[in-house]
This record gives sequence, C-alpha cells and structure tokens, in this order.
Amino acid sequence: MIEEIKKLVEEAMELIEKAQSLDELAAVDLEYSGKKGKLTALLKTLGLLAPDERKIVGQACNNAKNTVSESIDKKRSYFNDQAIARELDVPSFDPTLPSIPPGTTTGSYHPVSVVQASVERVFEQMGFKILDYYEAESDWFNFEGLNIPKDHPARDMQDTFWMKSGNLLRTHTSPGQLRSMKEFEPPFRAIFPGRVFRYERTDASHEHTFHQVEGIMIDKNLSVSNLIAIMKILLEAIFEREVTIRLRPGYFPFVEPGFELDIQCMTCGGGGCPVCKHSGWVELLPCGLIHPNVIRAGGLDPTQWNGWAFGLGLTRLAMMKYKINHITHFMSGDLRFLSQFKAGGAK
Amino acid sequence: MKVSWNWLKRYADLENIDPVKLATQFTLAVAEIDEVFVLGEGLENCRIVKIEKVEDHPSSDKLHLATINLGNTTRTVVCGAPNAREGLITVLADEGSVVKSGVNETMTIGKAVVRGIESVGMLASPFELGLSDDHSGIIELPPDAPVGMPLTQAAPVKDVVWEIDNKSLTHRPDLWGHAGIAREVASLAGRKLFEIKTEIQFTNDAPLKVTNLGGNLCPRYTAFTMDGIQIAPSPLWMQILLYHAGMRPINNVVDFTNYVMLTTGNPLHAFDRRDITDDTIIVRTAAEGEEITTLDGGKHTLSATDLLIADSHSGIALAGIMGGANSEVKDDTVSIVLESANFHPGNIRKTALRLALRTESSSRFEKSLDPANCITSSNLFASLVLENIPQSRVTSRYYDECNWEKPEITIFLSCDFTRLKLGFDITDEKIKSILTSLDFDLTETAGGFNVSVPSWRATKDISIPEDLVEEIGRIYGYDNIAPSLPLVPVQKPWTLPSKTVQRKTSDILTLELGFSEVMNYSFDKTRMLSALNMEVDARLEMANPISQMEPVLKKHLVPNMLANVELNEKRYDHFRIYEHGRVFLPRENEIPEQPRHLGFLIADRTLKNDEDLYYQVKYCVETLCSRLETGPLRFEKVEELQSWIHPSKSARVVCNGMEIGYLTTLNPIVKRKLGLESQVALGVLNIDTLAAMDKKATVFRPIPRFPGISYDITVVIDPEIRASSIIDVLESINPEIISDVRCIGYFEGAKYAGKRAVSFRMDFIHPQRTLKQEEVNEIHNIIVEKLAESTGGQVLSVP
Repeated sequence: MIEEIKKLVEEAMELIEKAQSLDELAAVDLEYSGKKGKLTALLKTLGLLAPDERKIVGQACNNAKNTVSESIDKKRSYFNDQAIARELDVPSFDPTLPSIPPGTTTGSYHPVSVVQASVERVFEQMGFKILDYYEAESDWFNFEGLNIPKDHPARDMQDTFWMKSGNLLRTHTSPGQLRSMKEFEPPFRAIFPGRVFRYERTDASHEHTFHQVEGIMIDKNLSVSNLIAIMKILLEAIFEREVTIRLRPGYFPFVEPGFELDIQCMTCGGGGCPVCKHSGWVELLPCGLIHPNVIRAGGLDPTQWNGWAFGLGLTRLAMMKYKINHITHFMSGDLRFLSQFKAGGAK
Repeated sequence: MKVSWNWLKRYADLENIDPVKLATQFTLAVAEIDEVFVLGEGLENCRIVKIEKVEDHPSSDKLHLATINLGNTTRTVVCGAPNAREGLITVLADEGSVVKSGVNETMTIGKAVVRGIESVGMLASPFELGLSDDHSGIIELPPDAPVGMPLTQAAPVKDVVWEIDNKSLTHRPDLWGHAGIAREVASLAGRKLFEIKTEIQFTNDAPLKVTNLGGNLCPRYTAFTMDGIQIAPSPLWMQILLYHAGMRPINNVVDFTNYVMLTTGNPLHAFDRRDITDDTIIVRTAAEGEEITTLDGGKHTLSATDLLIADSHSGIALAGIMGGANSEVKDDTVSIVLESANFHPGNIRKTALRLALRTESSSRFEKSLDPANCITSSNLFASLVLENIPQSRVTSRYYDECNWEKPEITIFLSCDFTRLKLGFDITDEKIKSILTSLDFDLTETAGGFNVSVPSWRATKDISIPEDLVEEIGRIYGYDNIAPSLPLVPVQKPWTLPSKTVQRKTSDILTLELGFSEVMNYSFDKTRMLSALNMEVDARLEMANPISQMEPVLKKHLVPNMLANVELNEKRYDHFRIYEHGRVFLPRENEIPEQPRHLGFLIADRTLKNDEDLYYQVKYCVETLCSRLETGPLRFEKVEELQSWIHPSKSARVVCNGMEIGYLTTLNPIVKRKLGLESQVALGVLNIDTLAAMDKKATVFRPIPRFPGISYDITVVIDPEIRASSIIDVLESINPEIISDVRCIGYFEGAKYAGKRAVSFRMDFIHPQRTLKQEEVNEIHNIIVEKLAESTGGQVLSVP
C-alpha cells in the first residue's frame, strides 16, 4: 500500500513538473486528488485494512495528497506570476500607434458643475472674476484673518477637519476674501466657487464635503443697498423667475453688518408649507459688508476701501434645482445618479 | 432660548401688542425666532376651586368623589389623583376646557359617566394645564389662592413663547435674559422700557472673607449673605414663567437664582453658608489634578487653568459652570451666601468644553457678559427673597472684589457714513432716535454724533462705527432699503487660465467624447491604499479623520476613480468618467501644494484585452490637446511608475518639452487585487501645467498653389520600433516638400514573421511648382534608404 502511494506521488510530481499550463495543472489535480482521483480512491479502500494498518496508511495517504496539492499550488502561482510578468512586459506594444476614436455615447456634467456654471456666468456678465483657491488652508486664512481669533465661539459653528501638520481643510470659501485682496489691486469684484469641508457625520442633509460659492466686491463706497440689488439679480438669474428676498441680522465675524438672506418660498409662494417649515421663507445665504478688520487683514486700508461679501451653497442649490433629496448622492460616484444630468455647457 | 411674553411684559410696556405678529419683526431686526408657541389656549373654563370633601367611589378602589367649592356653587366630580384631599386648593378644568393629554396631544373636557357616576369637568394636574411636567397628581395651589377665580386671571398661564435660535444670539451677551430682549422689543414697538429698580439695604457686617485671586479670569466677584431662609416652593407665577422658559422649578432659592439669570442674563449661585469652611471664599485657579464633585454628581479632575471658587478647605464651585455638591442649597438651609460674578469667557469655554459640562451658566459667561450687571442681579435676587420669604434678611455688606474698570467707549458716528453704508437716505433724527431707544448716549457734534456705548454692549459687541450702522439698519428695517446697483468702472476682461482649461476640457469630455463627470472625496481610503501598495503620508494625515477608513488627503485622483469603477462595473458594461480636482502634495512648514488635475477613464467589461482602450484614451488626450491648441504631442516612456500604471502600455504626454500628464492601461496586478472585471485605461492631465503653457495659436497655412500628391508607404519593422520614430525620420528628410506625416494603420500576422507592417501617409508638395515623377521617385528612394538605415525597416509599397 505505502509503496503504491509513493508511486502515485512520484507520478503526480512528474506530471506537475511537465505541466505547461493552468489547464494541464487542473487535470493533474483532478486525476489524483479529485473526487474520483487515484489518491482519493485509495483512501476509500482503507476500510478493508486492519485498524493499526489503517492508521498508518491513512496518514500516508493524506500526506501524499497534501504534497501533491502543495506542488500544484506552487506551480499555479508560478504560472500566475509568469502570466503577470508576461502581461507587464510587452515590448512590442507601441504606445505611439494611431488612436482609436471611442464610439459615441452621451456624456453628462455633475449637477454641482451645472449650477456652478450658471452662477459663474451671471457674475462674469457683470464683470466679476472667477477665482479658485486652496482647499487645504492655514488657520490664519480660514479663521484668524477673518476676525475669528482662537477661542472664538464662532469656531464652534464650523466643525473643522484638522491636519496633523496644524493646517486645516477650509470650512468655508471665505479664505478667498483674504487671498483675492492680496492678489488683486482694488477695486475689483470676484467670486470663488469650490469645495469646503465640515467635520460632521453624513446623513440625508449633511455631508462633510460640499460646494459653496463666495463672492466679494471691493470698492470705495459700497452699501447694503448695492448688496441687496446684486443678490436679487443673482437669485433671479439662477431660479429664472422673479424672487422676493429679505435680509435679517446674522452674525458672522467677518462681516459688519452681517445678514442672513431669506428667499420667499418658491414652493408655496410664501403661504407656508413643509419646505419652508411653514414660515413662508427659506434661509438661503449669509452676506454682509466686509468687516474693517478683514479689509485690513487683506492688506487694504479700511478707511479707503470697503466691500461686501456673500456665500452661497452650490450643493444646496443643486438639490433645490433638481429636487435631490439625499445629499450623499453628490459624492457617490454612482452613474445611475450622475448620468441623469445632461444639461450644461454653454448657455 | 425660550422667551415668555408675560415675562417680557414685566420689563417693558407691551400692552396690546400682538406677540405673534411682532415675532416676524423681531426675526428681521434682532435674532431668528425658530418657533412661536401660543400657550394656555383652551384654559378659559378652568377655575380655582377648593376641595370640601373626599369620599370613596362606590365602585372603584382608586377613584374618589370630590366635592368642590367653585366660589358660588359646589359640585361633585370623580377624581383619581392620590393627592386629592379635603381643604386642597386646586384647579377644575370645567366643561369645554382643552387640556394637554400627551406631549403634543390635547383633549377637550366634557361630561362623563365614570363607573356609573356622572362627572362634569376634571380636576387637573400641572401637566394637563401646561404648567409643568408633573402629572403625578392634581395641582396644589397656595392656601390664599382666590377660590372661584378663573385660572387665566389668577396666574400667567396664557402666554406666548418665542423659541429663539441660540446661534443668532452668539454675539449679543445682553440678550441672554428677558430684560435685554425687552429692550429690543420696546425699541421695535416704540414703547417704554421699565427700569429694574431694586434698592437693597446691605448691612455693615463683614462675616465673610472674600478674596479674588482670579486676576483677568475673574473680572468681578461679588457676594453677600442672607439669613432667615425657609426653603419652600416659589410663587406660582414664577414657577409658571420658569416652566414656560424651559426650566424646571426646584425651590424658592434656586428658582430665584434662575429667575434672575433669565431676567438679567447674569448667572447667580447660592451656597449653603453652613458648608463654607471658615466663612472664607477664595477665587483661585485649581491645583493641577485637584478634584471637585459638582452638584449633578459629576466628579472632575481639574487643570491649573480652571478657575475654582473655594473655601479655606476645598473647592465649592466650578467657577461660572456649576456649583459643588458639597455646598448646595438643601431643604433645611437657613443661611445662604449669594454669588454674583463675572468670569473670563474664553477660559469658561475651555473648561466647559474639556469637562464636557456646558450649562446655562457657562454658555452665558462664554458670551462676554457685562460685569456691571452683577450688582443689578444681586439686588433683584435679594428683593425676591425679601418679598417672598417672610423672616429673611440681608446680613452682610456687599462684597465687591473687582479687577475690572467700566470701559468708556465713545464712537464718533458720521451721519453721512451711515447713509453711505446703508445706501439709504435716513435722517439724522431717525439715527438719533433709534440709538437712543437702545440706550446709547448721544451727543451731537459736527456731522454726526458722539455715541457712548452702554456697558452691556461694550464687552465685545460694539466698538466701531460699522457696529452702530448695523444697529440703525436693523431697527429701521432692511426691508425699507431699496436695492440699487453699484455704479463702478468697467473691469478689464480677464479669466483665470486654469478655469478656461477646466471649462474646455469638461465640455470636450462631456459633449464630444461622451464622458460623465464625477466628484470624489479629497481623502484616500485605506483599503485602496493597501491595494495600490501606497503608504499613508504623515504630512497629509488628518488629526481628526471622519473615519479611520479615510485618514489622509489624496495625492492622486486615480485611486478614488478606481473605486468608481468597482461600484459601476456591476451595472454598466462600458462607461467613461472624468474628474476635475485638486490633489495634495506635502510641503515643509506650508500648506500643501494643491495642483489641479484632470483624470479620465474608460472601463469596458466586454473587451478581451485593454489595448484598444489605450488607443481610445490616447484619442481623448489628442482631442483635448488639439482643442486647447497645445501644439504637437509626444508619447514617451513613463519614468515614474505609480502602481496602477502599466509599465509597457503607458506613455507620458509631452508637449513643448513639458510633461503634461500620462495615459496607461490599468496595471494587471492592481486590476487583480481590486478584483475588477472590466478592462480599464485612463489618462491624467495637469491642468495647471496646461494653463501655464504658451498656446500655439493656430496659424493659417496658405492653400498650396501647386497640386501635390498624397503619398502612402508601408514599412515592415521590428515591433520594438515606435511608429513615432519613423515619423521623426520621415519629417527630417525633406521638410520643404514632405508635410503632415501621420501613421494611419498597422498589420501583424504570419506573413510578417513577428514583424509589424505600419502605414504612413504624408503630402508631397513643392511650394513653387508641380513635382515631377522623377522627383517623387527620388524622394521615395531616399525614404527607403533612410528608413532601412536608421530603423532597419523595409518599405513595401511603391508609389
């Protein structure tokens, strides 16, 4: 019996050695260790042996099976490595040969991009620059320079992603106020759309990464009245209809006076409905005249220059425009969502 | 914060004003009101009654029959309350009353037959009347309550409560009590504000030793003692007001401190004087590791920056946050020490945050309260005690340990400046009347006013003219300001170069090449990093990652886009996606460099191999670049291999000697590790490099005057020879005549014995004349010779 096992193993090893492909290996595996394999068949005859013999032969048989399958595994991974090596080393592949046009399909824009493009267009037509600033920022640009010193309760209002290096991910697009003042000679007007980050759990209406657009105008004598006028133009262009807005006091350390701008609920027309929580108004964007400390931090003289600023949630706008009920769709990468938005491009 | 209209009426003349209507005006001028609650509706038929007799219900163990006196009549009602007893003054909710039956539910009281006995009306619990959370029994009124009087007349049960969004009060320390809110409401309604006048006679006795070692952590610490205290419930009206403002009534002394806090905004604390060792109060910072148990039972280990109120033995209160368990007022307290103090906002905040112990008190001190308010608050408290506890008396002098000087802030406000900022023609008189109504002191001066800021607005709220402009604008009403567009000079047109590149590439990819735009997070997933054999770069690591699965900022767009493939290949056989985004490259002592990248990718699970996809992505690169007018591209060997780059089936894209990106098929090792079933090829372009490049503006080439010929050749070469190198040779031969050389196809097969036949097309045009056949033949011969010489290629076709 033992002799027979030895012979079978030797046979199998030789076949494994000779095997030229994964298919041949699989055949060897089947022939010796498969359900009807030779080693398996031997195991089935154990019952005919005397008990003490049965133990020895049984063990030998199992060892043989293990030896064979180990060798097969080894050879298999050799084949795999070889296959990969062959796949990786293709000197005959010429990356400079003629290109092939991919077939026609219909592409799509991300819904935030669509909304962003329409906001950009409104402002470009009014002579605003479209700027784009850093997402990872320093404490100074995100807080200190915006009149939010350390220990200021306003820091609580924006839970922050901190980096181990002490920098942070901007919690709003407002650092752009300081960066643009440092970059451009006044007077100027600009908007800066981009992604912002809040350290919070995601659910249907909260996302730790979302998009905002911030706008500022720096000149000599800008007023609250000017701000209201521009905001009205912006919102009427976005919603493509007449809108009613109202300002109420809002506290943001980087503006004085600061406002929350509400828009009359477009679902119920102001009569009250679940969308506006029965108030008739929907809070849309914070804005205000830029605080003199911020003008100063931007390197300008607040007795010479003033300005206004606003911030608007692009993600929120896209949710309103497309009636998207779950904010986490935006960053999901799911084409069932993304491929729905075909509009966009030039207007 | 909850604000009770009845409470406000104690501090301003608000008769005949509709609080529901005024709420909108308040939201527009002061702070956002989240919700308006109208309380006590349906209680008109509730009367104060006296229980004359209580008998058992003949067919119930638990129910009683109470005979009640309604003032002019008596009646018997069925009652199940355990505290129903003879002589109790309580409330009958008579037929038609609407009482609370659940948190948001009501029921209307009528006639009922309870176990065979008819009963009209119901004796009501404080909960049912909306006066507290207590529904353990019927309400117990003081013995002197007027029997027969409607409840709504006897107590302030009908009320309107505003729920104000606390966030909108962050910057207004003066609005954390009803008196401050009343000032705003009076100003808005044009009504009079009542002064809190409470003259208290302090004695000359000095039983306490009060030391303030807090420095700037404790600008003011005041204290005094009162004796003859008798702990009991506070008056019903106060309990109701407190309950309406969201506080649970406890006992008279505690309720008085809370009432004062919710009136003036200044938190108070009452100590049981018996527990203050040696009658000594020391305001000091804690020793590192010192412990205190607060009256909620919490044990806290303090650090040396925490401020402590201590006696000669140990801490008795965590300053400005919560009292100590060792010295709180108890049922048998007879003598108290009343603290009215002011603490450093930042320090209170830090301690409260660290100990996770934010209280009504700490959240007020955080806002920079006015130290001048300590005295008013002490006096109001003392007067409440003296009025309501018969034997009580003040038994010490007024200790006032002050490290603070009242700031004198005077701001010159120009009326023209105000008009300019608001963009509205408001009169000088109106400016004056608005500021005066808010208790600013104004002196007229040339062109405007010198405005003296009241102490409660001077802690941090108002310091510059812009702050005053806001006061005027909001009270005047922003709705009254007409919009007007700014008149400004035309700006020179200018577009951010990267913006142009992003817009063009997006449009080309979406509209021309059929790609869908994706947006991915700015973080790398640990799972992806390990599959891609990448290390977490500590310099980009988050200190507080949203999850351990996404701990670090991404250096490349590709890993997240591969995750997009994992997600979408289950549902789509073929798809194309692109992403515009910043990636993060660490720098020392600076914020990371954040170049803008464009990644685009084609995945196809119907293909056997990935080579066609490579050439499709190459097509995309060429289309993008030609529309951006970058000039000719070269596809060269990739030198820096990211794990997903295929070492052979890839190329870096070079333009004007600058690398602008790369393209590759997905490395099979990565493909296997991720278990992807699709063939994938992708390209990455650096938008910033493209934006910074000099554009090769298209220059018109004159249409040739002389006919040329389109000339094709096919060369058989070793497959290691690149088509681009053949083009290089062809272009160098006779640039005056040969132009527009391009590769148009290739063939492989047994016929070529391991070699590859590659076809090229070019134009032969002579600028001055028509080419002769001999000249063409000559060029052809040179081509054959040159290609054989430099590439070993053999030209097949003849012209």
